Amino acid sequence: MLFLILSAILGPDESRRLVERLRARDATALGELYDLYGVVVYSIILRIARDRATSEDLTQEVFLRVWNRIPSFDTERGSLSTWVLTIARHSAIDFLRSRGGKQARLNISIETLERPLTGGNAETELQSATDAKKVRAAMARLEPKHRQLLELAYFDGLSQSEMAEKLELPLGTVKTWVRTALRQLRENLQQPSGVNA
Amino acid sequence: MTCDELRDEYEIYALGLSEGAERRELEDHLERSCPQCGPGVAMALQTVSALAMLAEPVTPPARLRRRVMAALGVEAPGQSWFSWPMLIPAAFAVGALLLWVETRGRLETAQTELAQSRTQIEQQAKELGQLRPVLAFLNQPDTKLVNFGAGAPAPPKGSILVNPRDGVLLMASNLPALPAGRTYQMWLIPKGGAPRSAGLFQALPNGTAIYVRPGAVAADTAAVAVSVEPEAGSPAPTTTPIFVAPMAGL
Repeated sequence: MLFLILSAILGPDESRRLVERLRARDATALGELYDLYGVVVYSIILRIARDRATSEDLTQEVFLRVWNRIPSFDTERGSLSTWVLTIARHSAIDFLRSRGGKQARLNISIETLERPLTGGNAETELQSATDAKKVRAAMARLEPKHRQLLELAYFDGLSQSEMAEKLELPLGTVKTWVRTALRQLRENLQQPSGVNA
Repeated sequence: MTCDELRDEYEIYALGLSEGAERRELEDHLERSCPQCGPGVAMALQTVSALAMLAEPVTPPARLRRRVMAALGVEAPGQSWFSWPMLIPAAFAVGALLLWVETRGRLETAQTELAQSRTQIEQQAKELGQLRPVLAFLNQPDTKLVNFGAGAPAPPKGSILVNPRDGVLLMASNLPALPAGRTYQMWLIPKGGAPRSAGLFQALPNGTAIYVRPGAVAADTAAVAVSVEPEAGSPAPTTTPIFVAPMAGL
């Protein structure tokens, strides 16, 4: 299964060409996009929504959003994989929170990803970060309490206040742990893969 | 706040946890295409996106690919092998077939096969022609999306896209099986008014349906509903709708 996840990684030139073909409404490009990201998008959504029928609906919505928004997406300014994965996560978290009667809360918009955020080599940079084995190793090196917070934030969409309430911790402690966890995750991911293997 | 002061906020923001003054400050920097914060947040988004790899890989059902392609107007449901570019080689294939048969003195058989091929191509072109408005509809920037049925145990669920000028697109799953002689009928319900018929449609055997009602949608439409009606349709709903999706202002 691992190859399916890793296949979601494109080089910058391949990514640019795929986006250009999607903009040109090339039907085969849409199929390629689904073949590249369908498994990872469905897997993230299923992990968050925990329901197969709902995950199918939301996966369809994600590709619909990507298809509709691709004209405004700029590969020079952001990574296609990051963009698709973020849309998938947002859709599932929005669903989760609407099911619980809560307002959608993720404090970052999809539009943010379409603004000028970065230059150059976004996809290449992501390649080293999205090796599933490396990510798991990087997460395994975190303290369990830090790992738990990142998973609650990423997959359950909890705010820092909600995590503090759920774990019966002071809000200040949660904020400190989240920052520490993210910094350590970044450092772990930046280490050569041999260290984490 | 300076860029250096905001640096610790990049990943918090990327994870969707940033709040208050820090979030506003950082968004100000991003709006101004800040040369430090922009790349910083971009890198943070990549770090955070790496967390997606923690989800156990699950292969979606094969039908989902066909469903996605159909919903985007690229393929008709159940015809994953077809695409527009295939019309060209298909046309060549038909021509080559005719030539081959003529040289073999089997013109009658060839004509029959050619007619069948033409019929198939015409049918596919017709179906794709029906899907073209769907694609155009989806591409409209003022199209609004409403989900229904999410979270309930096993009812119809799906999405409705409404464009004030172009119409209503319904994508539904878990639709109940219809008794003989019955069909689904869509209704546009104005605020405080009687439901207006928006057409009849059928579902696939697996309970999924994609239905488009082209044309302008009245600004006073407050909800979209679907009920089960006699095959010829009804002037007003005769059964309790299987779902009602409230619409925000169009």
